[in-house]
Amino acid sequence: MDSPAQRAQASGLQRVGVRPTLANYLGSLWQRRDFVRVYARAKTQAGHRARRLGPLWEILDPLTTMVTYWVLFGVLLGARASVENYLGFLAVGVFTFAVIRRSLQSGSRSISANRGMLTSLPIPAVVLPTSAVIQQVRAFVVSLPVLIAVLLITGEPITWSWLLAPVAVLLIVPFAWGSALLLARALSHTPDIGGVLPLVLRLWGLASGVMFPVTERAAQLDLPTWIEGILLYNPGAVYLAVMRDALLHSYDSPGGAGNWLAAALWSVTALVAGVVVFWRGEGSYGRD
Amino acid sequence: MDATDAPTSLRLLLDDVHVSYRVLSHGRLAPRRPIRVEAVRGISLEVRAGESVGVIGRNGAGKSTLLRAMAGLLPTDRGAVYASSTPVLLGVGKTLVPKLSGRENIELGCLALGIARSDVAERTQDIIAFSGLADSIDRPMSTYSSGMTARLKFAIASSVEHDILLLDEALATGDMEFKESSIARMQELRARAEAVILVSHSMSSIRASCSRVVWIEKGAVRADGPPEETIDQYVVENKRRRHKQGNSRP
Repeated sequence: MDSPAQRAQASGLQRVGVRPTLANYLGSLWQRRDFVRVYARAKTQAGHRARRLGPLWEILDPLTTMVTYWVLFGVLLGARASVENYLGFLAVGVFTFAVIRRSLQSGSRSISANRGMLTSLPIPAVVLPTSAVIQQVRAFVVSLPVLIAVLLITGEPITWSWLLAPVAVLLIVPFAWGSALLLARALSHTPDIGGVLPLVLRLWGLASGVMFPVTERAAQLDLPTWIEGILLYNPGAVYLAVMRDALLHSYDSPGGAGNWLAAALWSVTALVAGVVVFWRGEGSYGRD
Repeated sequence: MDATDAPTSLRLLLDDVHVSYRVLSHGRLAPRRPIRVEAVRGISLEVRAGESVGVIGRNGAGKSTLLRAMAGLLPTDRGAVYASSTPVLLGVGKTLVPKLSGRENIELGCLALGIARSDVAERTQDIIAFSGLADSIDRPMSTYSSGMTARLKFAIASSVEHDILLLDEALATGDMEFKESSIARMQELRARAEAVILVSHSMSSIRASCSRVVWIEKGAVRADGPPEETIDQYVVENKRRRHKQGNSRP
């Protein structure tokens, strides 16, 4: 008598629950693109409907953060003096870092928060972090007019280099997606990471120079060069640098054009690592 | 074309399937260690075209886990599931968003089930009509009673046909009137499916619709045969167990 596997094959049966090839996996994500988009929109709308000011919070959220940082770091700690247009510097930092931070935050939680969906519907798990990141990128795009208004009010001229800002965003999105995928797999296996992640992300923002030019401070402290290297070339610092160089005429980031190369490298690295690592975990997300 | 793709009747084959969960130990002290809980321990099963298989067993016997492993939603530790097309568990899971209206949730549920965007508008009309919720379809789902939510979920989930249909019990809920129409819809789905697996605690619904019954206990097949025979064994065993428990009480 044949083995069960041979009999299954002879009857034309396919094995169920095997991880698809990477290409097929990404293909299944593409097939679900409408669900990804509509689910992102649904989550945004659900958030709006829970609050009286609804969609206004997309703008109020970065604005209140900005005002807080302006008072704390700009006025009280005197960071205002270190940059010509501090408010513009801060605005680009807060808006840009917000999309990275919030993508990682909600993307990483998307698997552990939606396990019930993965154990009942044949949906590739990658749909969930992807949808979460799209939701945050959408919020960022919606809040962009406010950022532009702050820049114009604080006297930044519209220059040709503004055309580089969309390029910078196109580098940030794959980085945010890839890192969210990495964190989503990590959190799915070890939920405890979710407990420290918000703090780590805020500290990362501080070290990347959201609130004040960190590298200039570090130069005064005479730190070892490897620490300076991290402060200068960690992805947070790099993406803030390219956004600021694109949008601020009054400020030049340390590192100059090299930041664009570093930004591109981080994007590719995070994207490839995130997609491959997450794909290799497919099948385990419903269980752990 | 050669001889190997001659039509055969085998639709689903489980070969020594083992499934386990990982849970964290309940010790008072951190760190908690992960422990494996074996829910399915070596189940082999063959289902042919036209069969309607009822799965019975006590709570925690591994019935729902088995169903999820058949659908490929839970990975097998050992063994394998083979099928002519991926078996689908009827339901919309936890896809719906309570803050959104019923109508918005229909769109979401349809897309989650893999219905093409171009078909969603047309399906929506059918789903609203079947659910009988036309008057409240634009209200947030969080304002629905549990019966209304169940109706909506069933209406969405049952709008898609599957070749190998997996049914977990207690899906057809709601008031009497809806129960009748949902039973009719369920029969329609069953009739169009090539094979059906039904998990239920209701022996009457198993008797009414299954051509074969599998009794699962502690993650393994205890009995597999014609409905009456298997159900009788199961009922006798349960009575014996209750009797024993009654006697051992001080």
